[in-house]
Amino acid sequence: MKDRRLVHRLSRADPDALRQIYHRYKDDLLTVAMALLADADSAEDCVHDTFVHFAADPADMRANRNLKGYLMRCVANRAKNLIKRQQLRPVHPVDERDYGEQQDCPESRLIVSEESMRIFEAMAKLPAEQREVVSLHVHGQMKFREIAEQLDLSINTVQSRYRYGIEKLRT
Amino acid sequence: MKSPRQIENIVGRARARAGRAADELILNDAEDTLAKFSHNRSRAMQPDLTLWRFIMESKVTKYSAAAVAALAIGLVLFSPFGTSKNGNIVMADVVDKVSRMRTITHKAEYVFSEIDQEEPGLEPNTVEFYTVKYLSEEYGIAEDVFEEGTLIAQVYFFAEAHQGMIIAHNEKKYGKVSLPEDLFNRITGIITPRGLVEYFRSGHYTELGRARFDNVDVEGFEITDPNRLVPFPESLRPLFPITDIVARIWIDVETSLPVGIEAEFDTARGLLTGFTRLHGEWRAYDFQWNAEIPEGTFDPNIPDDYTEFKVTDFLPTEVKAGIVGMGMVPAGFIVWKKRRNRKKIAKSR
Repeated sequence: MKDRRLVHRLSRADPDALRQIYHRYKDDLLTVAMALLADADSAEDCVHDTFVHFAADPADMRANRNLKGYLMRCVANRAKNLIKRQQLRPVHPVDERDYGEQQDCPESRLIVSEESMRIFEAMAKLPAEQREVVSLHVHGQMKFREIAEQLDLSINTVQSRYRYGIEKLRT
Repeated sequence: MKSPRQIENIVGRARARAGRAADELILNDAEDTLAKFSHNRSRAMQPDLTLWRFIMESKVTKYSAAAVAALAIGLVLFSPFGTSKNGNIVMADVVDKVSRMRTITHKAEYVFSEIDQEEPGLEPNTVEFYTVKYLSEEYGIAEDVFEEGTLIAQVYFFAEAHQGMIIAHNEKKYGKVSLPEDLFNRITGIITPRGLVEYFRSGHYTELGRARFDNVDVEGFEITDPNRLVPFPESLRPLFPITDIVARIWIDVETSLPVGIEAEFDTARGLLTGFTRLHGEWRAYDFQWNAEIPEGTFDPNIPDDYTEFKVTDFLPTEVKAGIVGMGMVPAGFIVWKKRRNRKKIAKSR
């Protein structure tokens, strides 16, 4: 079923539509959140808040014709807010054991392999705006034009942030 | 040093997945929120049925042929039924019950998107309607068409006069069409209750089994054959040429009455599609059987300042030639052409 139809049904409070949207995009959203936050609990909070907000007001996205892009933008914005808040608190280093234990365990909250965690940590060293564009493009599979629209940036800015981000990761 | 492409591949390998605990936590909270806010939202989204005001121009007029499409789809949807037993639903019960209904009202949603007009990364141009449809064995069919809560058009098929009528409020226009008896009977013979029954009796379909529709336990049936588009005679099918369709009907397992109908379809370029390829989605729900139809529903109220469409005024010669002999007026096309002409005039000034 098409996204637009699901949003239509969701606006009529159809819980099945909500579940379908969640299952369609949850992993992409969690991956982007992890790439931006490098912290499983924060990433889960971020996606949780996004869906709760979306359920409260799906009409909010009527002006936005791209459901996936809209949800990605919500996650990115919430991640930015969380990062701002975390800057005021002591930063906890990532505990790799937590993720190692959770790997391949369907009962766990978030499943992140050790390799993935290392990549997320490498991405965490990028400036936030580059990390955001790299993750939305690579993990969110969004085109530069979509990212530009969602973040209200020019496509040139998006492309240059992406280029600088990839260049930094190379070094 | 790795190439940018290699870096992209490595970054792309990083994935996070939700475990069951995360699924439960997020979905439970989101569903609670949905339930909490749904009451206010549903009230806010109810269209004001008494609303009667002139509407700003909108591209929605281009698709006023939606009513015609709905007739076609309605036919396809209601065709896949025989009288045999299917799962727990006994079709004979459905046929029997529906045959005793003299009125049906239901709501419906239409979504039309242009195919091949997509901007990269953006969804295509889309229009959405919400409609309330009244079907009466005695009077015919009336449909109120809303866009974002505002009444934009009314479509009628009057049983006694064999006449179709559209009132386009954004254009302040109305049009009447005398339909050939054969075509009129094909259309109304399908979507009035008795017509439905006839079409319940034949056709090929796929059983979808048990499901939930609008919180009701249902059994579903699906049809995917565009050739079952019966209401259009062969010569008229190019007007709204449906190329692919998936249509489903959901029957309440307790009452043996339909509770929902859904369809998705693609069209080729046709007169009533504005010569663009369209993707359409249609969903009918909230069926009321033998419900009292509000007084005045079949008495169109055309404001004094509305003028009648003169179809041929807006048609280029080649199109006139194409529709000569078809015996019907494509109301949606008229509105569309009218708007195109206006733009042309505006440009020339």
